[in-house]
Amino acid sequence: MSGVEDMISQAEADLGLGEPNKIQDWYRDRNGSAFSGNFPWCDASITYWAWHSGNQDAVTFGGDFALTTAHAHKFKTKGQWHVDVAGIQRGDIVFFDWGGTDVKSAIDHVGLVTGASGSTIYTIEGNYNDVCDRHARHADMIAGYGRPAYVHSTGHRTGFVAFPGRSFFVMGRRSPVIAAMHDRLVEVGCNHYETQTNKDRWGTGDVRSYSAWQIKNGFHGTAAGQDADGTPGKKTWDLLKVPRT
Amino acid sequence: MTENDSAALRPPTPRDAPGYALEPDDEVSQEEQARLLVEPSFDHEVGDEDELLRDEFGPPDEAGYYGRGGPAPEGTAEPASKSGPR
Repeated sequence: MSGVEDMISQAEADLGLGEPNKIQDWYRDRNGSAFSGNFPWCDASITYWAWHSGNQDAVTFGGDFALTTAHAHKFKTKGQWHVDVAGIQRGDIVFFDWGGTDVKSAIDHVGLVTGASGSTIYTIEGNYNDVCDRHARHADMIAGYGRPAYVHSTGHRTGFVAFPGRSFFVMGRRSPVIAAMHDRLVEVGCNHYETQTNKDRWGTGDVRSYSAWQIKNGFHGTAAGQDADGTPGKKTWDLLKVPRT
Repeated sequence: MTENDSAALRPPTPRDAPGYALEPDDEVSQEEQARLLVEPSFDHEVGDEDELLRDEFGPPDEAGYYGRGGPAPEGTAEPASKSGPR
């Protein structure tokens, strides 16, 4: 398996991870005793998630990174370094500089982007306050980001897609997650689609069909901002059980 | 063996303290990465982070984590209105 959703799913599995932890052990086993004790593991987390989701070529270029500056530099040498924060997207590797510069030598921290909405980005980060957790960040903290060239592989996956966040559902977004959701909505009798093409693209048929699913689960009000407006929430998403594909 | 494993076999190159400028062709050995690692400072949260995360993912679970797997807590609203089923 590989692809952006596999990378994020791997990171989501570690939400709540404290320290010392399996990521530090794994990195030390591969790269030697120089990584002794309770070493900082934010970029080791990115490396771990990449290797455990089949995305090591895309995210770490087949190598291992614990040092954020070295990782950011690698993205730059590969032509995959960006500073236009407005273009940041799910799956990007975001490098933070608390001082707000774009100088790579000043990078303080790194995270995996799960979503973006306006000037806010949502991340999963290892080793912030010594745990792995989700965070909301603003553009003024971002030094830049690397954009991995994810390759979505076919193949069997198990389990269900965790709720990807409200910002995921924007018109025109393409994702295998949306295609899997489409199929589930049809299976549960909420087929309000006009066609069965472009299943992986979020559109008005998804909104109508998801609204029907929300109503089926006791929510009301289909106007924008109301509970059954067709924009998924965690409650109904978890009930839908969208399979990883 | 990975690219960086092989790099780690090379003797470390003398460098300045953290903050040195990387040249275009530099590869950083694992020993150097370990030497230059510093713990990030942890006082840079967005002021309304909890509100933003709640709006994006719904309420946190019992342990305080947002958007983890498993069913949403009983009575969880759709984030669109935060009002809950009526």
